Amino acid sequence: MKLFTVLKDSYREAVDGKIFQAMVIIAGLFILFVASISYKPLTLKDTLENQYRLLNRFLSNNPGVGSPTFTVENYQITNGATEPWQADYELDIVLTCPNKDALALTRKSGIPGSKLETLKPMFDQTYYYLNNVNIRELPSETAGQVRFKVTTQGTSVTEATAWPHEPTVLFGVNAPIFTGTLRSLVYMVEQSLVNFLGGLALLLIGVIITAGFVPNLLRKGTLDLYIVKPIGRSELLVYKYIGGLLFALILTSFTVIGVWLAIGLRAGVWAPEFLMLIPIITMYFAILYAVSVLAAVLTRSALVAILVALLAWGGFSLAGYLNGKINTARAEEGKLRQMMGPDAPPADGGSALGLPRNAETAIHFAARALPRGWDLDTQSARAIAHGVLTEQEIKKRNLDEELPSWAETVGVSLGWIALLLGLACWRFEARDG
Amino acid sequence: MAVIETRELRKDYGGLFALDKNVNITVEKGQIYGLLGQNGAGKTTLVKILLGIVRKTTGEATLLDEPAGTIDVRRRVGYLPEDHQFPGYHTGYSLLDFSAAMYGVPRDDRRRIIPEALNVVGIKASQHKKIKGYSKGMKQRLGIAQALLHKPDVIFLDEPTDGVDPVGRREIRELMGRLKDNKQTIFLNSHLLGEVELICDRVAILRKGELVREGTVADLTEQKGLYEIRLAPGQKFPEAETRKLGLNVTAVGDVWHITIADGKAIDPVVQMIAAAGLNLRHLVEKKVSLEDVFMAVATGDGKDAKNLARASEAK
Repeated sequence: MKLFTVLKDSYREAVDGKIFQAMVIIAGLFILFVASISYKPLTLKDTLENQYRLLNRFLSNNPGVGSPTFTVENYQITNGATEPWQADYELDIVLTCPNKDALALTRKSGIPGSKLETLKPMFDQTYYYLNNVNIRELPSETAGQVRFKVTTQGTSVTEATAWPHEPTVLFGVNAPIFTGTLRSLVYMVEQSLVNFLGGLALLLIGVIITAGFVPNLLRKGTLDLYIVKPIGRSELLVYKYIGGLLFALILTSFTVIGVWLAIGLRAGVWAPEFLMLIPIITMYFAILYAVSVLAAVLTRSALVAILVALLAWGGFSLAGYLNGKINTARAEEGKLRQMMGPDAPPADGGSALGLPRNAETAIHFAARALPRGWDLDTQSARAIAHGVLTEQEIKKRNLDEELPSWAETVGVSLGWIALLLGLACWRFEARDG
Repeated sequence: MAVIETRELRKDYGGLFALDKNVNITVEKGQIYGLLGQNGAGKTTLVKILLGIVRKTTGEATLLDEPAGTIDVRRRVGYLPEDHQFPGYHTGYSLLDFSAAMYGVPRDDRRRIIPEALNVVGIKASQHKKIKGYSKGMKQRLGIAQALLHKPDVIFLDEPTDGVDPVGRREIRELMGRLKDNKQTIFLNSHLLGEVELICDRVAILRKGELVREGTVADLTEQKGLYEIRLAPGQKFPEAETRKLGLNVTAVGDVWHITIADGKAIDPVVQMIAAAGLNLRHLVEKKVSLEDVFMAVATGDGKDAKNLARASEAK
């Protein structure tokens, strides 16, 4: 009952500050923004035209290659399929130059797709998902023009998520620079927009809002009112901590679930792994809030609590980041040695990042001993990837490297939380008034 | 039964004594006990030790027959701190709800008793307004309500009438009277000596952390054997005859102060005046007020009797 009472008190405190309402509104707008993103499947014609638009622009700036222009003509779906990934295609790719000589110059200069022998590999590489691609050059009807007839039968794509899509933002504004498979687009939104930017904002604002909880409790004239109640001081402090944590949990859950629903409804991708962000971000916040609580008990200042928590955040992240860099460099070095075999030069014992060996050891130690904020970040990226991407795509993005176990990441972090809160409780118990 | 008891209580803040030697007090059930002293005398420290907010350095303190300050004891205690700052995000109602819930009062009971308590202290009309909009007096009334809400056995009130208007003060005094009638014990810290004199059964005076006086109000204000006499205008007081009765006589303007020894009465002087055909216009046994006592001992340098006499003479 006391826990519930203190939590309710913390809730009142959080809600009373306009920041909480502002935060909920911002989170709501963020969800709305994600919901405003729609994903339109690109037809093969769209994809080709996008590609040739770029190529044509590039070529128009290079007059020495014969001023060629590529166009797509006579595009049709020959099997009546309604979904682009189920279609058989027939289309012409037409290369037009001002005259015969210009065409000859273009083809001679090796512009990709200007000859059958370069067009076919380009199709195989870029449009790898098209099956039975047949390309033939048709007899030229006009001087300075060449026409390629392309026919395909089916695709290797079996579901919409693997087909190229183009997003539109704000309910209709095209964002062609972000084209990709639906999976990769959803991953980009979940990872970059939500996990990175959203997570950063949630943690930052969470730290700021909750930093005042303990200093307010310790304020002269207020503290007596609390500690005279039949509750232990440590119990009171821990309950206040849980209150702050609950605030972060509610806000994170609201945002993550809202985004999950928005993506699910708009993209049809319902990846439950994305919901792992709720416990991961809350766990990260729990670490920072424990730092903030200790600083607040020691100084009674919300400002100091915020600064110390942010410094700690930077410290944990830096240690994790540098450690990751060192590990990657070492792994690369190992691969290189394996490739070189007996010809590989002997290991010189130097540091991977050009740092002194002792510094590298210290970074390793710090990354292992400090709260695992970086690992939690990485774990959240992995969780998102596993919910959206295929194993092959995960590997391509280097998201399959070995990570410390969940038990280790959570265990070390929980250990730190217990230590920080333990110190805060000890100080709170020992102080007069 | 002693509800509050302290023995040789001391509190040392790194060499600075907030309470120093001989702080021995006993408060019985149902009493209103007043604690007086100048700012910094150690009053609030004593209360905070009893409530477990501050730790004692040495000595003993018990509350309701248990070591002072334990969680079990605090369950049976109400407290209105001095210079309290209620969290501004609460309304009057929600603060009492929080407070009562912390004392384990069930929700249904809270719904019933909170409006009653707010009504008793006269701020029910503002119960759903945020505390940050309350006046000082309203906050004080709310503080009293939160201290009483869970029906504690002992109530510590630190300057309960601070910021309250005279009508409100009277209401608070009456409320304390009703609590006393309910056999609840009140421990009162106040600078308002007249108030303390009116309602307290016993009083202790602290000076620089030291207990310098303790007793009932009657005990502290009684001054045995000092009488003030005035005769009709133009009549001369029989000074020499009075001295022959073995009494000490002093003229102060047109009145005479007569001091009699223990066990003796003023009656022979009255009879002598009557026998001499003089007309007695004024006869009163001179008493000191609690304020006199306080001024004499709380600000004194140890020569309490001298200070008290000076205070009495001044009156």
